[in-house]
Amino acid sequence: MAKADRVGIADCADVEAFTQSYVDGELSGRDRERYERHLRDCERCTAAQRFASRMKAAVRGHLPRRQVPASFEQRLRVAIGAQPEAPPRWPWLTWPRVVPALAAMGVMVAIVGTVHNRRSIVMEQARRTYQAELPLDVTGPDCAMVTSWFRGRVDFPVHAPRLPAQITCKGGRLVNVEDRPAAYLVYQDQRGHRVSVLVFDPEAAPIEAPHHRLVDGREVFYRGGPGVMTAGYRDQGLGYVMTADVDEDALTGLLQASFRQPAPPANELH
Amino acid sequence: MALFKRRPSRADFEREALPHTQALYSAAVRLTRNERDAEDLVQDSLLRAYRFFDSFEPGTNCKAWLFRIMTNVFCNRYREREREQEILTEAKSSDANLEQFFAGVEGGRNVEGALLGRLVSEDVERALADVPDDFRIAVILADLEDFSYKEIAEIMECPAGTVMSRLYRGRKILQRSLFNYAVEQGVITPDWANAEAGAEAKQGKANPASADTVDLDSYRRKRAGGAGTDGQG
Repeated sequence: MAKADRVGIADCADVEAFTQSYVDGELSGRDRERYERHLRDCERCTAAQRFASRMKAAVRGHLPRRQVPASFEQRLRVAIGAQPEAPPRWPWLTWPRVVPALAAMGVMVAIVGTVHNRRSIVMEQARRTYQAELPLDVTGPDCAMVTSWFRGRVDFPVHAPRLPAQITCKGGRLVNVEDRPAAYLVYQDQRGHRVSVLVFDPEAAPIEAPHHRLVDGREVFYRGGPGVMTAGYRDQGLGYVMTADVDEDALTGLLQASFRQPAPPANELH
Repeated sequence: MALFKRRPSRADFEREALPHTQALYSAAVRLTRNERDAEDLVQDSLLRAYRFFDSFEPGTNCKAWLFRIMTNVFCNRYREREREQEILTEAKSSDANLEQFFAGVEGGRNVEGALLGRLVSEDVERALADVPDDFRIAVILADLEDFSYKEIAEIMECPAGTVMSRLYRGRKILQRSLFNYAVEQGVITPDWANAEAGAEAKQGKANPASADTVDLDSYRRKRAGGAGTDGQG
């Protein structure tokens, strides 16, 4: 056992781990300095280090490099020569394959884009109709009167969503969604801001948009346009798209108001 | 971008990689323990290296890159896990002999010179073959191929600390085998080895390394033919 040395290595067990690193030339800096100082005072560790070094050298000395058999070397060169010259890392990633793949990808993107637009057609129609301010077929502040006007003109009973009291009915217009008649209702508030609701058969045009969220437990799809926001949802088998010149949160507030005050059944309207 | 990088040619591969064939083959013989498997291992590794040569960064250590591929191929295809476990268990039970030996080394007795001076290559080769795969790979890479701990860690895909412990363990097992061979051949007949062997015999452990009882020819036959062909029973 070595006596405690100046650099703090008191126990041979502390330096045992260093022996291997030292022999392998992996010990450097202060650790190497400490280890060598310890060896100067400790015969036991010096013997262990000397044995490890000699053993390493002996193993290496007794296990020289094996000669590669000439026949194997020849076979190896033939095997490598049989490989294609400079094979690419990814053999499938070659121009004759990449070009058709890119073309196919472009077609896919086009198809997906078309489908996407088609799915949104009813929301896009609602926005355009809102912005066009087309003349109304029926006008009046009485929602019941406006909705009853659609009887016989569309294939479903029209229920006007109930909005807050300051937003009153302005009128309605018969429109088509795809090839089916639909009801376009217009509301306005005291300052002249308009809110429109397109009521239609969702079988004619599904309501889809990338952005959707639950409002009072109902899935609502949103689509923004220049200066306006549209929100689509389904209720009792009918499709509704509400459009207003407000942001998403304000439109959601209108939706919540209508969801919490369901429209009266059709038979109450008359 | 990889698509537009110049692909390395066959000539590049032959210039960079093939000069390491002897090192690969030499290590492969000691990994697989026979020349036929070594040739297969080297050929598989070099063909794989050729196919993926454009992933090799020119200017980096090609030898280490090739050894990494070969170590992977070896570990996936040739390693014998059961055998490794068996030898590990045996190794743990026999370390007491080594401790006795080192006591002699550290006590200044000349057993070190006796052991190292009388080593024969056949024994060292045999002792290395007995080291389990993971430890043997570390010993081959460090002692025969001069790779640094960092390079070995990259080749074996493990932390440097694991390299050090595998290397330590591998060398201990190697030394134990060499010590046992030296004792059985009568190169070392130290009192402490006899005492240790006697203690193990009393515990009922088979110990082919006991210096005063072993018949070398019988022992070699036993090793060559397996435990069941001892000829004693």
